[in-house]
Amino acid sequence: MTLEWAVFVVVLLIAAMIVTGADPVGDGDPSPFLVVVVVGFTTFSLGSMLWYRTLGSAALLRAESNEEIRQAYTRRMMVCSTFALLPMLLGFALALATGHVDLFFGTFLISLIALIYAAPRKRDTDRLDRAMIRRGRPFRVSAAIEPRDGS
Amino acid sequence: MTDKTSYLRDELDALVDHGLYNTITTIDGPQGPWLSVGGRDVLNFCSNNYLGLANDDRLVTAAKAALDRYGIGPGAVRTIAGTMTIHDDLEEALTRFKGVEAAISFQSGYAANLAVIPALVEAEDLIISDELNHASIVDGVRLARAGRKIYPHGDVDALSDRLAEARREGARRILVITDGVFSMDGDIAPLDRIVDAADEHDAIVMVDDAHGEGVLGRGGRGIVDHFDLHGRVDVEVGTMSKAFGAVGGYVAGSKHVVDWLRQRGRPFLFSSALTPPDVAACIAAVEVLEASTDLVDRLWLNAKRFKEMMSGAGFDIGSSETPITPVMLGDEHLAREVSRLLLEDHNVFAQAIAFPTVATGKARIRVMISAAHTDADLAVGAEAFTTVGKQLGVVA
Repeated sequence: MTLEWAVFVVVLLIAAMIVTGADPVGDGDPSPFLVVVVVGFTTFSLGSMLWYRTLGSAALLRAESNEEIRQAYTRRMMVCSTFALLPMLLGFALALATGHVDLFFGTFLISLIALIYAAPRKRDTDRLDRAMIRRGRPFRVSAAIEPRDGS
Repeated sequence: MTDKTSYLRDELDALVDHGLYNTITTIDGPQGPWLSVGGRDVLNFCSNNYLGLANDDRLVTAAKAALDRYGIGPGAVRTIAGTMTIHDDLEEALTRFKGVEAAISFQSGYAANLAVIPALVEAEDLIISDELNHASIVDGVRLARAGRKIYPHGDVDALSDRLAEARREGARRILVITDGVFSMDGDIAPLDRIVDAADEHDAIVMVDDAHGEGVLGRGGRGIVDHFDLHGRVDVEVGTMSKAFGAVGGYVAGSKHVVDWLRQRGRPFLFSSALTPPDVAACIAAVEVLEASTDLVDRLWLNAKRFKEMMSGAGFDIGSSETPITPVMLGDEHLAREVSRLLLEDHNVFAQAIAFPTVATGKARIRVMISAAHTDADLAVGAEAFTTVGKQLGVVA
C-alpha cells in the first residue's frame, strides 16, 4: 500500500504543477501551486487516516484474543497518527523551502486536530466496546489495552 | 446371599446399549503433547494441560523438594492438624497473582465450588445460575439451602429479568454464578455485562474460571483480568488442575470471604488439604506464569493455527473463543466413530463428547490445544482429522 500511496502523491504533485503552471518558490503569498499541493496532500492524508481507521476498527472487532486487540489497536493508532502528522511535516518542509510559515501554521493546526482524533480516547474505546457487545463477542477493547500492574 | 446391588448391572448394560458407557483410556507415562497408550505414542488432544506444565521440570523439581522438606501428607484437615507454611505460601502466591485481598486453597476446583456456594447463601437467599454451568457448580447449588433460578446460557437480558424478579419476590441476598469459559463450546461468559446487571440489583457475583486460569487475561490471570474487572467480582473460583498442570482448587476474593470459608467451607473443614508436593508444584506454576507470558502466548498462537487448519479443511469448529476447539459433528455415533478412527488409524487421541454431556444432536470431538504442541503436532492432528473426515463424509 505504501508504494501505491507514494506514487499517487508524486502524480498528484506533478498534476498540480502542470495545472497551476506555477513556480513553487516566490515572494508574497504562497503560490496557487503550493496551496493546491498542501490542500491536496492534506485531504489525501486525512482521507487515508480515516480509511485506515475504518480498516483498523474492523480488524479490532475481528480479533480473537486480547493480545490481537492490543496489536491491532497499536497498529491502528500508529498508522493513523502517521497520516495525521504528514500535513504538518509537509507544511514544515515547504516553510523551510519557501519561507511561507503560514503554511506551516495552517497544517500544524490541522495535524494537531487529526492527532487528537487518532490518539487513544475513551469515547473511541467505548464505541468499539459497544460494537463488540452488539456482535456478541466476549472481548473489550478498553480492557485489553488498559495497562495494569503485575502483567 | 442376594446381591442387593445387582440392579447396577442392568444400569451398566443400559449405558452400554445407549452408547453412553465410558471406557477410560489408560496412559503409561506423563501428560504431554504425546502420550503412551498401550505401548503406542498418540497425539494428545484431550487434556486440560493448556500450558504443558503437567510434566514441566520446574514443577517436578519443586514437588520433589517439598517432598523432602514436608513429607507426603498434610496429616489431617488444616483446622485440626495445623497448616503447613507451604499452604500459606501458595495462598500468598495466588493472592498476588490474582490481584485480590486473599485466597484459600482446596483439594480441587470441584471441592472449591462445593465449599463456597453453600457457605455464601442461606435459605432466605437465591442463586441465579447459567444453564450451562459446570457440574461442580450444579452440585454446589444443590448443596446450598437457597432458592435457585436458571438463566439461558450467556443471556444477560434474561439474567437481568431473573434478578428483577428475585428482588420483587423478596430474596434477601442474590448470588449470580457463571463459568468464565464454558468447557464444551469454549465460549467466554460476558462477565462485564453480568457484573453490571448484578450491580444494578445488588447481587453477589461468583465466577468459576477453571478453563480461564492460565488462558485468559494478562499472563493467564483469568477472566476478571481479561475484562479488567478487578475489585468488581466478589468471588473467583479457580483450579490448579488444568493450565497450572498440577491439582487443586482455590477461591480468591476479599479477606472476609476467605476467612468465612476457613470457618464454614465444609471441604476445607472436613477433608485433608492438598499434599505438600502438589502445593509446591502449584506455587511453581504461579511463578512460571508470573515470570513470562510465553506459554500463554504460545497457547493462543497454537489455537489460532489449529482452528485455521480445521476451518480450511472444511470442518465446523463452532463458536469457540478460546483454545478449546470443538469439531462439531452432530450425530453421536459419528462422533464416536471419528474418535475411534483417529486413535486406531492415526494415533490421535481426541475424545468424542456426546449426550448427556452436550445436547442430543450436538455431539463433537473436543480438541484441547496446548502450548506444548509443536506446529508439526498440530499439522499431524489436522491431517488426521481431514483424512478421517473425508473417509466418513464429514468434509469433502
